[in-house]
Amino acid sequence: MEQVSIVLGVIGSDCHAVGNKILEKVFSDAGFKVVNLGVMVSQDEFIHAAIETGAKALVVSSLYGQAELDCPGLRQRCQERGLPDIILYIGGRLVIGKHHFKEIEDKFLKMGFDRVFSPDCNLDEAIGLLKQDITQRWGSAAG
Amino acid sequence: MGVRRRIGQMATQRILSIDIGSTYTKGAVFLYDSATDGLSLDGMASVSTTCDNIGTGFGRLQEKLPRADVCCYSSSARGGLKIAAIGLVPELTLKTAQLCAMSAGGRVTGVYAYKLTAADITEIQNLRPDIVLVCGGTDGGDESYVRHNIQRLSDLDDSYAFIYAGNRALRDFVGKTLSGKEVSVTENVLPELDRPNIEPARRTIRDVFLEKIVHGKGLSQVIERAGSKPLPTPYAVYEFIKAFGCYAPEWNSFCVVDMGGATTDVYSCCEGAPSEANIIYKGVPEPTVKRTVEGDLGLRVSAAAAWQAGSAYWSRCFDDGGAALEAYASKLHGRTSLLPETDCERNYEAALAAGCFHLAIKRHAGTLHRIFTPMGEKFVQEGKDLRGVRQIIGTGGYLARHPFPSRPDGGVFQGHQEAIGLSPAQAEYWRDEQHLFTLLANVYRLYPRQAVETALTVIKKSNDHPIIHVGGVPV
Repeated sequence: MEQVSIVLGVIGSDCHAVGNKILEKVFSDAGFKVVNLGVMVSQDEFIHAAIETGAKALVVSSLYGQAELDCPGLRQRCQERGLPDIILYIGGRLVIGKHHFKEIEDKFLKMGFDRVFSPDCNLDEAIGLLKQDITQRWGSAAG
Repeated sequence: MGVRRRIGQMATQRILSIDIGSTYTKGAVFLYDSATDGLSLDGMASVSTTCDNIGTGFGRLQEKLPRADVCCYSSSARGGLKIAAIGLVPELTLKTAQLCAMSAGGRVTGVYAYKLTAADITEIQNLRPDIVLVCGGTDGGDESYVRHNIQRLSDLDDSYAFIYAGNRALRDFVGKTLSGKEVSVTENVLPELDRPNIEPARRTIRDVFLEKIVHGKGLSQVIERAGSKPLPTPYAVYEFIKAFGCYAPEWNSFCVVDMGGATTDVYSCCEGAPSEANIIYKGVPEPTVKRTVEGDLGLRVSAAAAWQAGSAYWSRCFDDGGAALEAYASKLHGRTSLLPETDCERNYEAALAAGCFHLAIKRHAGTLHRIFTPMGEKFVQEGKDLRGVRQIIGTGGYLARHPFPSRPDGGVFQGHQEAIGLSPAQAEYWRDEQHLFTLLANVYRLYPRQAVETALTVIKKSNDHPIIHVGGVPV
């Protein structure tokens, strides 16, 4: 069965590279074809990569607290560029200051993300959810 | 190589090398001596290319030159090799398709991203490219856009040569949909986003040129006379440049600028990767040997377009805001055989050449954008960093005959203010005084090492401009 492509990257001006490498390894091991754009990835770079590779999901990371500035409009941009159904995940340290995770989650769900993950989330669970979401929306799962 | 084996024990061999250009056909005979295992020049000549019959010029040139044992030649006549490049995302497969077409010696006459429209098909019909290079989708990636485009292209008549170098999954579909047409299928130019693969498509372009296109370029009679087929001139030069590092290790980071009447070609041979830890590379990696063709930068047919391209710069260089230069450029546009007669016109010519030279390199080179992050100042690099380039070779009619065309104002071209150009910072300027570079590129096919060594003896380091600055800030 053909592998499902996902696009991975750290959005905005964020240069945190270690977590990005870990995610690449974990998602690849789980059977996904990972298109890793590395650090400092713009919204358009995510979208271009998804169009060219036919990816089913964008997995966005942010660890520097500026995701609130980097992410608005991503869903709308995807819609505009012909990717209305693409799955959008985001995870990391998304905002500055102390907040309940629920608040942060609500904020990013409202922005158009399908799921939001805290910095201490369980990656196995995230992978399970991604496979489930892909099957539901696209009718096939990775691996 | 077969020819060399056949000559086996021969002590000397005369090689006729000819370059058929749009305006001139140039030729030289080189003598290979097995005693010295080197090449020497045994005569050179040039005639004007006869538009109606390219074979006539070729024949006249052969008569002017000593008899040779073997002939190798290249052609950029009849507008060179015209290629329409089709991709998906402009910055990804389309950019790679363009790079591939230019590296194969082609002139990109049209670029098409995303879905082809009926108007695009009409435009392709009007431009009549020799090759339609169809790319799009990484392997295992998008199929829908490419499927749509192939379907659209099936409306074109059977006279086009198609090369498919897109998503592997659609090869069968391409074969079926374009059945009855000339289609060559090769490896994807961008199988994965960070791993461009232009070499197979480059070779396919060359093969299609040799098999199907040479005859249409009025070369049938020449092929009969020479007993072999030509390569596109820039393809031969590209291969030649690629080999320099193998035979002359000190030539591992250099550029060649070939300025003609219609185009300015720039070749760079260097890695061009980020040189510092705080520089992050973005976009599809570019090849070590890269060729770009600037169709609007040239000293005759393209003079008026060149003035347009650099008008902001030239208006700063002259007291009259560049008006007289503009008039001179428009005059050249219509009368391509015109030569400058007065000192004033020679100055204009030099100013135009300077503009074409610097602009062409600037467009070839990458850029750096400075950004401020919570982790401090960083730079984003797009394209190749040429700041470390050590030598630049100037060739083509003007650059071969004249001193380095330095900028009248000594300034640099201002592009986007926020971007830092990655043009060469301090490079030695070498001049191909005898205009033998392209002719040696042909000989390279038979005598690779000797051709490179000979090239390095015929090009001369410029006395008046030993070191040139092309706008890049030193690394």
